[in-house]
Amino acid sequence: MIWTEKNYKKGETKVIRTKVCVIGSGCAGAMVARDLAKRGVKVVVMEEGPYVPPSDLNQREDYLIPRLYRMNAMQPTHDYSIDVLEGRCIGGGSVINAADCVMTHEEVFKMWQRDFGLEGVEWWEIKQAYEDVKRDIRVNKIELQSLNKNNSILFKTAKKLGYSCDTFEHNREGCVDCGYCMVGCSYNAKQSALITLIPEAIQYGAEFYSSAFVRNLVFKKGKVEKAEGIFIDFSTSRGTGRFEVFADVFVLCAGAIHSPNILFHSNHKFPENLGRFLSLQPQLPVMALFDEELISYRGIPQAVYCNQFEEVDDKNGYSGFRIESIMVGPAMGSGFLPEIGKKAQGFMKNFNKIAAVLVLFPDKPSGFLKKWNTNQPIIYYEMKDELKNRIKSGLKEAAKIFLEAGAKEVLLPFEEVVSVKSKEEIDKIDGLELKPGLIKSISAHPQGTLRMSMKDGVVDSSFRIKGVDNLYACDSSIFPTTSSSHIMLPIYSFAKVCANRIIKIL
Amino acid sequence: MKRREFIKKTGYVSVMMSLPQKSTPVPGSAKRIVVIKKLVRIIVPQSEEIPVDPEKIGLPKKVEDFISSQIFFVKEMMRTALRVLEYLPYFKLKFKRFSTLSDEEAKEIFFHWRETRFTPLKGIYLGMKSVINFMYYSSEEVWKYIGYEGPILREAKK
Repeated sequence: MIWTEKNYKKGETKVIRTKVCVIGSGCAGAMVARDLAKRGVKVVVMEEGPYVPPSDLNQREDYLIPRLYRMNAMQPTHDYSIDVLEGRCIGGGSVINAADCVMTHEEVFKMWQRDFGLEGVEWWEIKQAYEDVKRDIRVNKIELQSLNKNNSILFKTAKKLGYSCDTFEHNREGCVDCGYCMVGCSYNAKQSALITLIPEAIQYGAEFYSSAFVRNLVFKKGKVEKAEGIFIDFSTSRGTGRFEVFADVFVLCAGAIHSPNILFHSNHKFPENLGRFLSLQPQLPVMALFDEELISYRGIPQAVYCNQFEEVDDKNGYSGFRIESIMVGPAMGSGFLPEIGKKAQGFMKNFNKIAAVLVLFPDKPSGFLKKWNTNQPIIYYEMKDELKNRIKSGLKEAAKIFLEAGAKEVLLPFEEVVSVKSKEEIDKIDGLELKPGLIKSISAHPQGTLRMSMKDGVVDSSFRIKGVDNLYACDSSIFPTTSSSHIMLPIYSFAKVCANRIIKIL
Repeated sequence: MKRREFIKKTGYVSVMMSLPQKSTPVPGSAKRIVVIKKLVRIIVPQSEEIPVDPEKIGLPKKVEDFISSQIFFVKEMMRTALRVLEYLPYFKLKFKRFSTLSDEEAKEIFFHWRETRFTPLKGIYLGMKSVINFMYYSSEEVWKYIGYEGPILREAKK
């Protein structure tokens, strides 16, 4: 059953008793809930965001973005350099992601084992979980014939330049090419947790509470006794009632920003690195204007990647950069507009002639969260010089690809208009100053704030928060460094292994 | 003249003198919209590129409703930002409120914050720009001028 706002009485304090309380219903929460419920465990899932059933996914950005994204997809870092995107609805990030499936490389995992002492987790377990997940969410490869013009531009031009390039694996079935993946699939083609794991979990008896915001955990004798929080009325964003969840085991699956925030506001002394080692994996949009109509907003938005400049080894893990095609609707896309007024409108006027890519930069864990209020921590993140240099190289390659493809003008992601109109102008990118707040970047893959590490981590290799017997975490916050270019599969896989650990102690 | 009446009258005069126009509304819960209207005019003006009057499509009200629907701390931050914005021209010796400036003057002040090192002002610039752009490009009236066909679901409704 999914409890919604309609089921909550105003002013009431609801007391819920269960075996396992899962906080967050995204990839990690849905997987843990399904796997535990399937084995007969009584599970309750508390989700901060509302329940938006597939029938309500109406392809309107103004209706859906406030309902599906945390802070309307405008969650900034401390200096406004990066917008951190997170799902905040039943199904979480799996409802609003681009459905791309990329697993953690074995080399990265080996590095984690060596550098962070993850002896308790084995690669074969992760690999096995990954194979199971692929079946659960129906992963398959995108066919070349289903590419729209935007994706074709990247694919054909990268091949022409001799770059390594391919189509993604994704979890869509029966896609109708509407292009609204980032505001939820109206056709149930995207196999998000909302239509795969959650219905299954409910079938096995799990209960989901939507609009239920967990503020803190209450500790008693070194163990978590209960989770406290409020039910939220979406239309006013105010609390309507309170809840207390008593359980034997609690599992944090609220994402790399909010999972640590719950611990910040709980009455317990946690390991000192709580909230540290944040990786944001910045993604910079590069847009290009063509003469012909491309209608890039229709079709699979993100189907092709160029990994020519990506580096993976067991010394440094995942680094370099990769270029991926992308397109969103005009409202979401307007967030990347330079300038204001007529200049910005002049560019948007050609919305149907725009092609776009995201240049994705795996980063070293250098950010951290600072306790602020119960809803939101402050996200501190500064781009280091090494990253800035890589960003310039990435922007140059993206511009080169678009100009080779015949673009009239390539617009770089800055607050002022910075464009490149010919190959001769590409080198001017080296001279650009990447000032905070003036460069436009997003992060759809925040990771690492509850680092899993036997040395300097918050979570041990059995997925337990150190020093607390009945508190687990298994979302993207546990990854010691950036895990992959897309984090859905790694999260699902690690959550599955975590569920196996929990079942052993129950 | 009685003491109470004197204070009432002189107090009233001093307040009036500090205001550039008698009719300028104080930005409070009901009057924030005048600041938003000014912002809308400079961020998404009616232009030859997109000849849609943002006020005719109710954009200021949509932006105000959007702000009101946010969670408490976001709502308060945005409302405070609007209050700061309204009075900030005084610090630039303009002696007018933001909402009473000409569009050009308002744009100059607003645009200046893009480059400022004072992060909260940069936040106001980026936040207001994002919200207004978001609501504007969500409007069906604008779509036909940018070549966007909109949702393909027949039942796509608000």
